[in-house]
Amino acid sequence: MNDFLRGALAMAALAVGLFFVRYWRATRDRLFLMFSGAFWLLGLSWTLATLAPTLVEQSHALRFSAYVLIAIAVMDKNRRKKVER
Amino acid sequence: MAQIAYALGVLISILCAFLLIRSYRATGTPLLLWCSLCFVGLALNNVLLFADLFVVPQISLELWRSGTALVALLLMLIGLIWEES
Amino acid sequence: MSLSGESDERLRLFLHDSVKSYEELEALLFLARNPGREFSSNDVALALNGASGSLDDALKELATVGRLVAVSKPSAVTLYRYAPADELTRQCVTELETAYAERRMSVMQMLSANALERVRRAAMHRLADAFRLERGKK
Repeated sequence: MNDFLRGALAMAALAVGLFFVRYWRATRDRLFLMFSGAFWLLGLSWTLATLAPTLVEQSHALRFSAYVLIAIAVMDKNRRKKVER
Repeated sequence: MAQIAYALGVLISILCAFLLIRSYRATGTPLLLWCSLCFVGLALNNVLLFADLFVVPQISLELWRSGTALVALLLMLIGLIWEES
Repeated sequence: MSLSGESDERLRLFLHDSVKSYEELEALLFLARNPGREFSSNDVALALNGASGSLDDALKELATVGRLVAVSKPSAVTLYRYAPADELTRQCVTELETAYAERRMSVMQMLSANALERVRRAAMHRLADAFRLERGKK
Protein backbone atom coordinates (compact mmCIF):
# COMPACT_ATOMS: atom_id res chain seq x y z
CA MET A 1 0.00 0.00 0.00
CA ASN A 2 2.75 2.39 0.91
CA ASP A 3 4.54 1.57 -2.32
CA PHE A 4 1.40 2.47 -4.21
CA LEU A 5 1.14 5.80 -2.38
CA ARG A 6 4.78 6.56 -3.02
CA GLY A 7 4.39 5.73 -6.69
CA ALA A 8 1.50 8.16 -6.91
CA LEU A 9 3.58 10.71 -5.03
CA ALA A 10 6.46 10.39 -7.47
CA MET A 11 4.07 10.96 -10.38
CA ALA A 12 2.42 13.92 -8.69
CA ALA A 13 5.81 15.46 -7.90
CA LEU A 14 6.86 15.05 -11.53
CA ALA A 15 3.65 16.70 -12.73
CA VAL A 16 3.96 19.62 -10.31
CA GLY A 17 7.55 20.11 -11.40
CA LEU A 18 6.49 20.18 -15.04
CA PHE A 19 3.88 22.84 -14.33
CA PHE A 20 6.50 24.97 -12.64
CA VAL A 21 8.86 24.58 -15.56
CA ARG A 22 6.11 25.94 -17.76
CA TYR A 23 5.60 28.84 -15.36
CA TRP A 24 9.30 29.54 -15.49
CA ARG A 25 9.31 29.61 -19.28
CA ALA A 26 6.31 31.93 -19.32
CA THR A 27 7.60 34.38 -16.72
CA ARG A 28 11.38 33.84 -16.71
CA ASP A 29 11.16 33.98 -12.92
CA ARG A 30 13.89 31.85 -11.36
CA LEU A 31 11.69 31.02 -8.41
CA PHE A 32 9.65 28.65 -10.55
CA LEU A 33 12.72 26.86 -11.83
CA MET A 34 13.91 26.31 -8.27
CA PHE A 35 10.49 25.18 -7.09
CA SER A 36 10.35 22.78 -10.00
CA GLY A 37 13.72 21.37 -8.95
CA ALA A 38 12.59 21.14 -5.34
CA PHE A 39 9.49 19.15 -6.16
CA TRP A 40 11.48 16.87 -8.41
CA LEU A 41 13.97 16.30 -5.60
CA LEU A 42 11.06 15.39 -3.34
CA GLY A 43 9.79 13.02 -6.01
CA LEU A 44 13.23 11.48 -6.24
CA SER A 45 13.39 11.03 -2.49
CA TRP A 46 10.08 9.15 -2.50
CA THR A 47 11.17 7.08 -5.49
CA LEU A 48 14.42 6.18 -3.79
CA ALA A 49 12.65 5.32 -0.55
CA THR A 50 10.48 2.85 -2.41
CA LEU A 51 12.95 1.35 -4.86
CA ALA A 52 15.97 1.26 -2.52
CA PRO A 53 14.59 1.12 1.02
CA THR A 54 18.05 0.55 2.47
CA LEU A 55 19.30 3.93 1.25
CA VAL A 56 17.42 5.75 3.98
CA GLU A 57 20.00 8.46 4.55
CA GLN A 58 20.26 9.29 0.87
CA SER A 59 16.52 9.57 0.64
CA HIS A 60 16.41 11.96 3.57
CA ALA A 61 19.29 13.95 2.10
CA LEU A 62 17.35 14.41 -1.15
CA ARG A 63 14.33 15.56 0.79
CA PHE A 64 16.37 17.97 2.82
CA SER A 65 17.95 19.40 -0.34
CA ALA A 66 14.48 20.01 -1.72
CA TYR A 67 13.57 22.21 1.24
CA VAL A 68 16.91 23.98 1.13
CA LEU A 69 16.24 24.74 -2.52
CA ILE A 70 12.84 26.20 -1.62
CA ALA A 71 14.50 28.33 1.06
CA ILE A 72 17.06 29.53 -1.47
CA ALA A 73 14.28 30.38 -3.92
CA VAL A 74 12.48 32.50 -1.31
CA MET A 75 15.69 34.25 -0.28
CA ASP A 76 16.59 34.90 -3.91
CA LYS A 77 13.17 36.39 -4.52
CA ASN A 78 13.66 38.79 -1.65
CA ARG A 79 17.17 39.82 -2.47
CA ARG A 80 16.58 40.71 -6.08
CA LYS A 81 13.49 42.81 -5.59
CA LYS A 82 15.55 45.97 -5.54
CA VAL A 83 17.08 45.16 -8.90
CA GLU A 84 14.07 43.85 -10.74
CA ARG A 85 10.77 45.50 -11.30
CA MET B 1 21.75 17.21 13.95
CA ALA B 2 19.22 15.21 11.99
CA GLN B 3 16.46 16.76 14.07
CA ILE B 4 17.50 20.22 12.92
CA ALA B 5 17.31 19.13 9.30
CA TYR B 6 13.74 17.96 9.67
CA ALA B 7 12.72 20.94 11.75
CA LEU B 8 13.96 23.08 8.87
CA GLY B 9 11.60 21.29 6.54
CA VAL B 10 8.68 22.08 8.85
CA LEU B 11 9.68 25.72 9.18
CA ILE B 12 10.12 26.30 5.48
CA SER B 13 6.80 24.65 4.66
CA ILE B 14 5.01 26.74 7.27
CA LEU B 15 6.70 29.92 6.04
CA CYS B 16 5.60 29.21 2.47
CA ALA B 17 2.07 28.41 3.58
CA PHE B 18 1.93 31.64 5.57
CA LEU B 19 3.23 33.79 2.69
CA LEU B 20 0.80 32.20 0.27
CA ILE B 21 -2.22 32.58 2.54
CA ARG B 22 -1.33 36.20 3.19
CA SER B 23 -1.14 36.88 -0.53
CA TYR B 24 -4.33 34.96 -1.16
CA ARG B 25 -6.18 37.16 1.27
CA ALA B 26 -4.78 40.23 -0.44
CA THR B 27 -5.37 39.20 -4.04
CA GLY B 28 -8.03 36.49 -4.02
CA THR B 29 -6.19 34.41 -6.61
CA PRO B 30 -7.39 30.81 -6.10
CA LEU B 31 -4.05 29.35 -7.19
CA LEU B 32 -2.46 30.85 -4.09
CA LEU B 33 -4.94 29.13 -1.81
CA TRP B 34 -4.33 25.72 -3.34
CA CYS B 35 -0.57 26.18 -3.12
CA SER B 36 -0.78 27.25 0.51
CA LEU B 37 -2.86 24.16 1.33
CA CYS B 38 -0.18 22.06 -0.33
CA PHE B 39 2.50 23.57 1.91
CA VAL B 40 0.34 23.04 4.98
CA GLY B 41 0.14 19.39 3.96
CA LEU B 42 3.90 19.25 3.43
CA ALA B 43 4.46 20.81 6.85
CA LEU B 44 2.26 18.11 8.32
CA ASN B 45 4.18 15.50 6.37
CA ASN B 46 7.44 16.80 7.84
CA VAL B 47 6.03 16.79 11.37
CA LEU B 48 4.93 13.18 10.88
CA LEU B 49 8.37 12.27 9.57
CA PHE B 50 9.93 13.83 12.65
CA ALA B 51 7.47 11.98 14.87
CA ASP B 52 8.04 8.70 13.07
CA LEU B 53 11.81 8.88 13.54
CA PHE B 54 12.16 10.45 16.95
CA VAL B 55 8.92 10.48 18.90
CA VAL B 56 7.30 7.13 18.25
CA PRO B 57 10.02 5.09 16.51
CA GLN B 58 8.39 1.89 17.69
CA ILE B 59 5.43 2.30 15.37
CA SER B 60 5.50 3.11 11.71
CA LEU B 61 3.76 6.21 10.48
CA GLU B 62 4.67 5.41 6.88
CA LEU B 63 1.14 5.36 5.54
CA TRP B 64 0.26 8.62 7.28
CA ARG B 65 3.37 10.27 5.93
CA SER B 66 2.78 9.15 2.39
CA GLY B 67 -0.91 9.95 2.67
CA THR B 68 -0.44 13.53 3.83
CA ALA B 69 2.20 14.20 1.19
CA LEU B 70 -0.01 12.77 -1.53
CA VAL B 71 -3.01 14.84 -0.47
CA ALA B 72 -0.77 17.92 -0.35
CA LEU B 73 0.53 17.41 -3.88
CA LEU B 74 -2.92 16.60 -5.21
CA LEU B 75 -4.19 19.89 -3.80
CA MET B 76 -1.36 21.68 -5.57
CA LEU B 77 -2.14 19.87 -8.82
CA ILE B 78 -5.82 20.74 -8.55
CA GLY B 79 -4.88 24.38 -8.15
CA LEU B 80 -2.45 24.33 -11.06
CA ILE B 81 -4.86 22.56 -13.38
CA TRP B 82 -7.78 24.74 -12.30
CA GLU B 83 -5.78 27.80 -13.24
CA GLU B 84 -5.51 26.55 -16.80
CA SER B 85 -9.20 26.87 -17.46
CA MET C 1 -3.97 27.79 -44.87
CA SER C 2 -0.61 26.82 -43.45
CA LEU C 3 1.10 29.66 -45.23
CA SER C 4 -0.93 32.11 -43.23
CA GLY C 5 -0.11 30.15 -40.06
CA GLU C 6 3.19 31.94 -39.60
CA SER C 7 1.85 35.37 -40.30
CA ASP C 8 -1.05 34.62 -37.97
CA GLU C 9 1.39 33.92 -35.18
CA ARG C 10 3.22 37.17 -35.90
CA LEU C 11 -0.08 38.97 -35.82
CA ARG C 12 -1.07 37.34 -32.56
CA LEU C 13 2.22 38.35 -30.97
CA PHE C 14 1.82 41.90 -32.20
CA LEU C 15 -1.67 42.00 -30.72
CA HIS C 16 -0.42 40.43 -27.51
CA ASP C 17 2.17 43.15 -27.02
CA SER C 18 0.23 46.13 -28.23
CA VAL C 19 -3.52 45.73 -28.45
CA LYS C 20 -5.35 44.51 -25.41
CA SER C 21 -8.99 45.01 -26.24
CA TYR C 22 -11.52 45.35 -29.00
CA GLU C 23 -11.78 49.11 -28.38
CA GLU C 24 -8.04 49.50 -28.74
CA LEU C 25 -8.13 47.56 -31.98
CA GLU C 26 -10.87 49.73 -33.49
CA ALA C 27 -9.21 52.92 -32.26
CA LEU C 28 -5.82 51.94 -33.65
CA LEU C 29 -7.25 51.01 -37.04
CA PHE C 30 -9.22 54.25 -37.15
CA LEU C 31 -6.12 56.32 -36.46
CA ALA C 32 -4.14 54.31 -39.02
CA ARG C 33 -6.75 54.92 -41.69
CA ASN C 34 -6.33 58.66 -41.08
CA PRO C 35 -2.59 59.15 -40.79
CA GLY C 36 -1.22 62.57 -40.06
CA ARG C 37 -4.44 63.84 -38.49
CA GLU C 38 -5.05 64.35 -34.81
CA PHE C 39 -8.19 63.32 -32.96
CA SER C 40 -9.52 63.64 -29.47
CA SER C 41 -11.11 60.66 -27.83
CA ASN C 42 -14.51 62.26 -28.43
CA ASP C 43 -13.77 62.50 -32.15
CA VAL C 44 -12.85 58.85 -32.27
CA ALA C 45 -15.94 57.89 -30.27
CA LEU C 46 -18.11 59.81 -32.69
CA ALA C 47 -16.53 58.17 -35.72
CA LEU C 48 -16.81 54.67 -34.28
CA ASN C 49 -20.20 55.09 -32.58
CA GLY C 50 -18.58 53.96 -29.37
CA ALA C 51 -18.65 55.05 -25.76
CA SER C 52 -16.20 57.90 -25.30
CA GLY C 53 -15.20 56.71 -21.84
CA SER C 54 -13.92 53.33 -22.90
CA LEU C 55 -12.36 54.77 -26.04
CA ASP C 56 -10.56 57.31 -23.90
CA ASP C 57 -9.05 54.45 -21.87
CA ALA C 58 -8.24 52.54 -25.04
CA LEU C 59 -6.42 55.51 -26.58
CA LYS C 60 -4.48 56.11 -23.37
CA GLU C 61 -3.43 52.45 -23.33
CA LEU C 62 -2.35 52.58 -26.96
CA ALA C 63 -0.31 55.66 -26.20
CA THR C 64 1.54 53.94 -23.36
CA VAL C 65 2.57 51.06 -25.63
CA GLY C 66 4.83 53.63 -27.17
CA ARG C 67 5.27 52.51 -30.73
CA LEU C 68 1.88 53.21 -32.15
CA VAL C 69 0.20 56.37 -31.10
CA ALA C 70 1.54 59.83 -30.36
CA VAL C 71 -0.07 62.20 -27.91
CA SER C 72 -0.20 65.94 -27.91
CA LYS C 73 -1.91 68.31 -25.52
CA PRO C 74 -2.18 71.75 -27.09
CA SER C 75 -5.06 72.65 -24.80
CA ALA C 76 -7.15 70.94 -22.15
CA VAL C 77 -8.07 68.22 -24.63
CA THR C 78 -5.62 65.42 -25.40
CA LEU C 79 -5.13 64.67 -29.08
CA TYR C 80 -4.02 61.35 -30.56
CA ARG C 81 -2.28 60.65 -33.82
CA TYR C 82 -1.15 57.51 -35.61
CA ALA C 83 2.64 57.36 -35.21
CA PRO C 84 4.27 53.99 -35.84
CA ALA C 85 7.79 53.93 -34.44
CA ASP C 86 9.33 52.00 -37.34
CA GLU C 87 8.65 50.31 -40.63
CA LEU C 88 8.10 46.93 -39.00
CA THR C 89 5.35 48.35 -36.80
CA ARG C 90 3.75 50.01 -39.80
CA GLN C 91 3.78 46.70 -41.66
CA CYS C 92 2.21 44.91 -38.69
CA VAL C 93 -0.61 47.43 -38.54
CA THR C 94 -1.20 47.10 -42.28
CA GLU C 95 -1.34 43.32 -41.91
CA LEU C 96 -3.73 43.78 -39.02
CA GLU C 97 -5.97 45.98 -41.15
CA THR C 98 -6.07 43.39 -43.92
CA ALA C 99 -6.69 40.54 -41.52
CA TYR C 100 -9.43 42.48 -39.75
CA ALA C 101 -11.16 43.19 -43.04
CA GLU C 102 -10.85 39.66 -44.42
CA ARG C 103 -10.81 37.42 -41.36
CA ARG C 104 -12.42 39.33 -38.55
CA MET C 105 -13.32 36.16 -36.65
CA SER C 106 -9.69 35.05 -36.52
CA VAL C 107 -8.57 38.39 -35.20
CA MET C 108 -11.23 38.39 -32.51
CA GLN C 109 -10.19 34.89 -31.51
CA MET C 110 -6.60 36.06 -31.23
CA LEU C 111 -7.68 38.87 -28.93
CA SER C 112 -9.54 36.40 -26.69
CA ALA C 113 -6.66 33.95 -26.61
CA ASN C 114 -4.28 36.74 -25.68
CA ALA C 115 -6.59 37.98 -22.94
CA LEU C 116 -6.74 34.48 -21.49
CA GLU C 117 -2.98 34.18 -21.56
CA ARG C 118 -2.66 37.53 -19.85
CA VAL C 119 -4.87 36.41 -17.00
CA ARG C 120 -2.92 33.20 -16.62
CA ARG C 121 0.35 35.05 -16.58
CA ALA C 122 -1.00 37.45 -13.98
CA ALA C 123 -1.77 34.51 -11.70
CA MET C 124 1.75 33.17 -12.18
CA HIS C 125 3.27 36.52 -11.28
CA ARG C 126 1.07 36.75 -8.21
CA LEU C 127 2.26 33.32 -7.14
CA ALA C 128 5.89 34.33 -7.46
CA ASP C 129 5.28 37.67 -5.77
CA ALA C 130 3.57 35.95 -2.85
CA PHE C 131 7.00 34.88 -1.65
CA ARG C 132 8.13 38.42 -1.00
CA LEU C 133 8.54 38.80 2.71
CA GLU C 134 7.84 42.50 2.72
CA ARG C 135 4.35 43.78 2.26
CA GLY C 136 3.75 46.69 -0.04
CA LYS C 137 3.18 44.56 -3.08
CA LYS C 138 -0.49 44.68 -3.92
